[in-house]
Amino acid sequence: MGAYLFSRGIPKEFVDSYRFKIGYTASWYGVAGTFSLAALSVSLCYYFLFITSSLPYIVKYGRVSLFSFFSQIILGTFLYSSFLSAILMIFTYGIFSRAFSTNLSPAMPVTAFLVIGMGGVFYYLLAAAIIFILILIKKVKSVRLVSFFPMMISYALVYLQVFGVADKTIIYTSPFNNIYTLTAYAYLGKPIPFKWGEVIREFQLLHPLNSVIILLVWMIILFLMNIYLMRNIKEIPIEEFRQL
Amino acid sequence: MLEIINIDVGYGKETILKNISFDIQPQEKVVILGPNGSGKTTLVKAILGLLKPKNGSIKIFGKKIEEIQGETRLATNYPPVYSLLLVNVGDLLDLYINLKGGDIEYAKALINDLGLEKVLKRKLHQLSAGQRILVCNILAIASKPEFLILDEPFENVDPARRGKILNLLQNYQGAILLITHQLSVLSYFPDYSLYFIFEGKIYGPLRPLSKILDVYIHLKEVENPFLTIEVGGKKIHLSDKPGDYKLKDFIDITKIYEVLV
Repeated sequence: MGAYLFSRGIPKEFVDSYRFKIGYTASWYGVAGTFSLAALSVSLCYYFLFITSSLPYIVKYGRVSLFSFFSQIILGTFLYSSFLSAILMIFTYGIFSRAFSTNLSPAMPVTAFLVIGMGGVFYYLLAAAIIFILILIKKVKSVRLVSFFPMMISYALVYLQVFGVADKTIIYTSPFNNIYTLTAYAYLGKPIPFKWGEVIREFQLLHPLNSVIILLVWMIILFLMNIYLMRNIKEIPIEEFRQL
Repeated sequence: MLEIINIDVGYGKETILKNISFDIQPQEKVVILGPNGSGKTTLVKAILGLLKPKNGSIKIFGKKIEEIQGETRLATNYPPVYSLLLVNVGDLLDLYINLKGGDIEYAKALINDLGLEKVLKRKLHQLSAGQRILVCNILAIASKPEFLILDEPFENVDPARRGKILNLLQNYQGAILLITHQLSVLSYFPDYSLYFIFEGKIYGPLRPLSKILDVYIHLKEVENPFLTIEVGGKKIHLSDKPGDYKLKDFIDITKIYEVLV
């Protein structure tokens, strides 16, 4: 869509600029990466509902601690998300290069794998926190709606940034926007601007280190929160989250 | 080994188990016999720490249930605890044996002995009810725990395989808490202690089981009964004096409701 549909509306003076084209492609890679992870978090929410018996059991009566369980799953999520980013990168590169008849290769592919891997871990921790909170407040039936919250919020906030109307506070503090910022940065090879219209003029850039720090802070908060919430988990029979 | 003191357990405002107390010593074998809906699985959940008692306390190996972590000496066949990953039975055996510290070769030998080789490539939820409980029995027994909790281990299991599981349990060295509604299997466990569970209340212990099976059920008052149980608002009495029914004539304890109507 980004390559063939939305690109039709781009003014002609920009289409010929390599700088614009690589920025445009990087932005789409950021959007695709963030939204893919957000979609993944919906199914992750359900995963946590299915392990409300087995997780407390193996922690109590197995050779695994909550900390090591989360750490191992986090590593798995990181690797899986990195793999996902590689597939996305191949498609983004292929489709956009063909659409613009220009070689639009990513500048820092390894960084992109690391960044999307981090993003995957964030969404994993967020999905776990959502489910553990629902269990705690006894609102498991709401999972069908609530599991979509990360995706809905990601769509809203990231598109606000893409279209240049997001507040600076949101761009700096929202984890969803920081995942987008870092992913686009990895493809572009340099910090992205606050507003994509400014890509040509290189005006007010978003520093990637800030984004990494903010994202890490969010991840640490969620990790600690999950470890705490996990101790109060209670068994949820599968039938309990059926709606009909 | 297991010490349960005055626990009330339930879901939300509903209390299923009321004022339950009993204990199990090392290597002791105990059967809890109760009809469907009497609170047997709720008790298993409470002992496993999946359901927090509203009152009272549970201790396992001398430690409060809330404080237990990394205690591999207990295992169960309760199926929901084997849903950590959506993998086939072969991988599930590997995963849980690794987590519990058991012997994978022993687990595979049990699989072969029960003729379950074909289920190794299938997922637990894809199996029949009988196959599923057999696999869960193996998952529990394979780590050779000191304390084995078995919830309805013979449910939907065919007679040939039931015999093999009975054999395994007869020769088991550790403590066993066997929870069932099937009276017909009790004759295989003559040295077990017996508790009844009816409508959330526990009655017992009666031991040894070999003598208990020959007792009579009295629907009317009898002198010096072993035990008096409240069922459906009525009282039934167990005594060795000839009475209305012989306990072992009931294949399934749930049938007791039929004679009370």
